[in-house]
Formats: sequence, structure tokens, C-alpha cells
Amino acid sequence: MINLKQNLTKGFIKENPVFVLLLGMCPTLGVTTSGMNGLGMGLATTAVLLASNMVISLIKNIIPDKVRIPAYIVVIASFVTIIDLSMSAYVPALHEQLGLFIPLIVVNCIILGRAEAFASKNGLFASFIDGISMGLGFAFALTLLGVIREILGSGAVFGFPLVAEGSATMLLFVMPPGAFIALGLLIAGVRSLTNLSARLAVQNSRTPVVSPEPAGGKA
Amino acid sequence: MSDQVQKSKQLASTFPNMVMIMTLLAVISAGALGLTYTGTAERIAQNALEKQKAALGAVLPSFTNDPVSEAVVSSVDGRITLYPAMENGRLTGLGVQSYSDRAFGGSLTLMAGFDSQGKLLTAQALQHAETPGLGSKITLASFVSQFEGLVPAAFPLAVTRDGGQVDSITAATISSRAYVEALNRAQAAAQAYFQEVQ
Repeated sequence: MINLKQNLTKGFIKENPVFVLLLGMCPTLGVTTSGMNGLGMGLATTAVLLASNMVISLIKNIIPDKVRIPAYIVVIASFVTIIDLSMSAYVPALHEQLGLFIPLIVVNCIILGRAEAFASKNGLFASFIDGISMGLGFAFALTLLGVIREILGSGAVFGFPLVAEGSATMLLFVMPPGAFIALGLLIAGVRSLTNLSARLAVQNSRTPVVSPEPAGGKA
Repeated sequence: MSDQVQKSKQLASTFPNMVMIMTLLAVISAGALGLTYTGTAERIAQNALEKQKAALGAVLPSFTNDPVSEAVVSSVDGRITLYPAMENGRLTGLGVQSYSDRAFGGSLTLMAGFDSQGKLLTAQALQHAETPGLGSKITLASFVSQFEGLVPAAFPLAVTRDGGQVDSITAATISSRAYVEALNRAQAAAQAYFQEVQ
């Protein structure tokens, strides 16, 4: 239970799928032309990740080791198709915007990665928490990137215009090169923030760490 | 530690085990997909129909029939669908679903509405994959409004760069050209249809 909080929060910054693990770059760069698209894609991925993590943690013992990857892919692909059909039925506008990227969740590395690295080794509850954490971390990253690109490229936030219609915005940012630039800057920002906080943590803990050192050296 | 405990519990990778588990998984997932499909198919079809009806309502004059159920394939081009709009048994207009394969993002389809004299009322893009912020402006009224009310004599249209009258979207000549191409196709199909029914 000590790990619960850690498991729940790791997906946002420390092990963020996009900013730190650099997994699932294809949808990240492809769909984040607006905040809404990023959020929609992030939540669809979260739903798949949550469901596949839970099912895989339940059936991990009956899956023979040699066929585990195909077995995981069958589970993941089924959930993706279910989400794809449901979105097409209930949120057709968003489904149309995300288009091909919904079926492509099947090959999103983060899903298979969590199945292999986490759900196949942990229980149902831990896998559920991991799915929430990683999924929402992914959604958070995509939404952030989407909002930044939308502000710079279209002058709007979640579809609400910030500037007068027809004014010049940096169109580059809604196009693919802008996705790379914005993502690069975001990753650099997150890295420098985590470095800074790590350095601060070291400085704060230095005094208690230094004093027992001689004792440790003698032992 | 827990890792080792699970390893020993895990089913051995023998051939019968692998075949059995994969078959079982395939059957379960096929069942789940079948259920989802039957649960959503009706709604998905309805969404597509509603979108088409909304587009028809936007481009056509008033009608009392159901153009979607009376739709016919154009005799000029098998990929163009015609939606006749009738009021009290009289043809009041024609919705034409036309296309172009030469858009910047592949193909685009649009719905164009003509009145019974063959005048273009307006058009609306149904599906396109143009660059957001550039080619996607083909959906804006500022671009589309220039086509409203064009008489048959004005066709075929061409963008100014090709010696025509159509103001193309800045930095999106290819998208504009594709839109114009789809409109020209729609007009030719509509013209042929009006001649056939008269």
C-alpha cells in the first residue's frame, strides 16, 4: 500500500509516457492539433489501457509464456475495436476528428509496454491503478501539447477563440513540424524541472547524509 | 519474489496449451466484438444518415420527400450520388454528392445543392483531410459563398491562377482546385440529370 500513491502519481511526471518514457509518439504528434483532440485521444487510450491492464493481470497465469505477446495483442485489439465502435456511435464528431488514430491505439507502445512490464507481473488492483496513472498521464501530456499547439496555431483554447477571426496565428504549430517543435520544447521543460527538483532534494538532504558518512565508511 | 511464485503457477508453454489458450482468447474476443457491433451498428448507420440529411437540408431548397431514400447514382459518373428534392411531386432541386481525388489530403467529398433551373445554391464539404488552418478553410463561408447562385453558364469553374474567376484560398491553391473540380463534376451530373427527367 505504500506504493499506491507512487503508482498513482508516477504517470504524470516521473514516468510520464510522453515526456519521460517517450512512448506512443505517433498519436502524440499526429492528433494534438487542438486541446480537444488531445484530450479525446488521451481518454480513449486511457480506457483501452485500463481495460487491457485489468484483463491481462487476471489472465496472466493461464497465458503460456511463449504466446504472451500475441495473447496480449488480441486482448488489446479487442478493446480498441470496442472503443472505436462505441465512439463512432456515441461521439461521431470526435471520432471523425481522430480518424485513423483510434484503430492505431492497438500498436501504441504504451499499452503493450504496460501489459508486459506491469500487468503481467502484478495483481488486479495494482494494474488498475497503473492503468489509471499511465493513461491519465498520457492524456495529460496530449492535452497539454494540444492546448499549446491550439493557442499558438489557431489562437484558441478548446475551440474558444482568443483572437479575432482572421488574425495571423502561427500556422506552423497546427502542422506536423510544429508538433515536433512544441513537443521538443515541452520535453526540455519537463526535464529541466525534474532536474531542478532533484538537485533541490539533494541539497536539502545533504546535511543529514554527510554526517553519518564517516561511520558508513569505517564499517 | 512474487514474480517467482507466479512463474510456477503459470501454464507451461506446451503446444496444446498454447493452441487452447489462443483459441479460447480468440473466441471470447470475437464474441465481445460481435456483441459490441450489434449494439452499435444501428446507431452508427443512423449517425451517417443524419449527417447526410443535415448536409442535404443545408444545401437544398424546401422539400417534402425523402431525398436519401430516392437517391440515384449519376449516369455520368458512378461515384456521384444524386438526391432529388421534391415538393408536392414537383422537382424543386437536386443535391449532388460529388468528389475530387486531387485534394492536398487525398480525396474530398462535398454536397452541392442545385435548384430546378440548375443554379448552384450552395455547397458543403462532407469529408476532407486538408491541412488544418490552410486547406481546411474550404469549409468556411468566406470561401464557399462565392459559389452561391452561380448559373449553369458560369461552369466549368476554374481558380484565378488557372484563368478562371474563383478566388482560391491563400496558400491552399491545391485544395481550392480540388473543391472546384468536385463542383464542376457535380454541376455536370446535375445538368445531365435535369436533361434526363425533362
